[in-house]
Amino acid sequence: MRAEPIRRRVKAVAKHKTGVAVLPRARPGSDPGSAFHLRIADITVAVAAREADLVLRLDEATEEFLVAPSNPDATVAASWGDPGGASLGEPVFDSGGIWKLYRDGTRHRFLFSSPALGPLPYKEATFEADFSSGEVTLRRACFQAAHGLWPLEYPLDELLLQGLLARGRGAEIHACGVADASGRGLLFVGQSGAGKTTMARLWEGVPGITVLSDDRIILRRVGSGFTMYGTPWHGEAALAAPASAPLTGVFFLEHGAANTLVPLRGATAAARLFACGFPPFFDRDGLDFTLKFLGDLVAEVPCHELCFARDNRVVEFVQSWAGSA
Amino acid sequence: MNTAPGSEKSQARRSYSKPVMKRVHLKPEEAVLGGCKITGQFGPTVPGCKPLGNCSGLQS
Repeated sequence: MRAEPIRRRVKAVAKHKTGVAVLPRARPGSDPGSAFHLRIADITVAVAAREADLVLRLDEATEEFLVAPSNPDATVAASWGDPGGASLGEPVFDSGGIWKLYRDGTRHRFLFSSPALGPLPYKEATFEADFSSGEVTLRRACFQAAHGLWPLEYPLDELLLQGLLARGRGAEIHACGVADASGRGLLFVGQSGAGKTTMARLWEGVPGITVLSDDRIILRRVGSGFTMYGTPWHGEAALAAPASAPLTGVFFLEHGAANTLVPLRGATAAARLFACGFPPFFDRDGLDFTLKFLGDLVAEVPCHELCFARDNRVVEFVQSWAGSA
Repeated sequence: MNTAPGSEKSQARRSYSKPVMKRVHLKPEEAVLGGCKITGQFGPTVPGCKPLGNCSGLQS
């Protein structure tokens, strides 16, 4: 459970930004019809409502990623309507949860349903083949519109970024990301229970440190290297920062009695990174790109298995490695 | 004595090691976006996991 509200946590993080790029932020204008521009991992998404009574509202972590209106990589228009009302096309993927994906020509159509909201789908999102534009249709009866809502509510926001990243931009990883006092990016990768939250809490509060996220990190190639970015999709420690750092080391988390590092290379490192990623399993070209991207990354960035003893000695241990890398 | 073409290269080759299969564990319930780790259920009105966009119970 969260120990305190996200806003307080995010603000606390913002104090420690030495050597770390912090993205410019802005609030949307007072015009209720204006678009919200979010920038996550240098990818800008503009979201607007078509109807005046569809009021957009962001959660606090996502609000930290608002930027001034700028040329977006993707635009999304939201409106009330009848999700799934028209022919959806060919079924492509069933998440086993609340969403299914259909392909209508070249367009991607995500349909969202929940037994808690009745038999009819509560939301549909249709995107062009390259995810550069899309529409979200919401069933009015399923939402408490008076309080405002966010059309890209999880998991649609991550599905959209997943689509954009898989088109040559990068990959999202289940990881805790830390930028040290010298601005070096350290990535701690692991599935549920591996110790991401523990690691984030051990680093939080160390002078000069920024925890970019305790749960989800986006990786992109920038220039001749790789850069890691914080995302709004935090974990239990509620740490989410709109910042980035050059990726210096990748550490696959394992619990242990002592702090040890074992180098990992090649296919082993790439496979472990892939297993902690969020690849588009339903998209052959996207999977091809993701595999190539992760293969290139592990060939260029040092990767290790990090056994750690769940106390703050691991911070010094990793910093010592980073200082000599 | 003549040296067969390519023999120096052959001597520099690494010794053969038998390929080994390594399994990497993938959790589909985490790799496919959309789960809530508090309840293990899905949906925007899952008790204790609302609103989803602000949910501390996402898979992590």
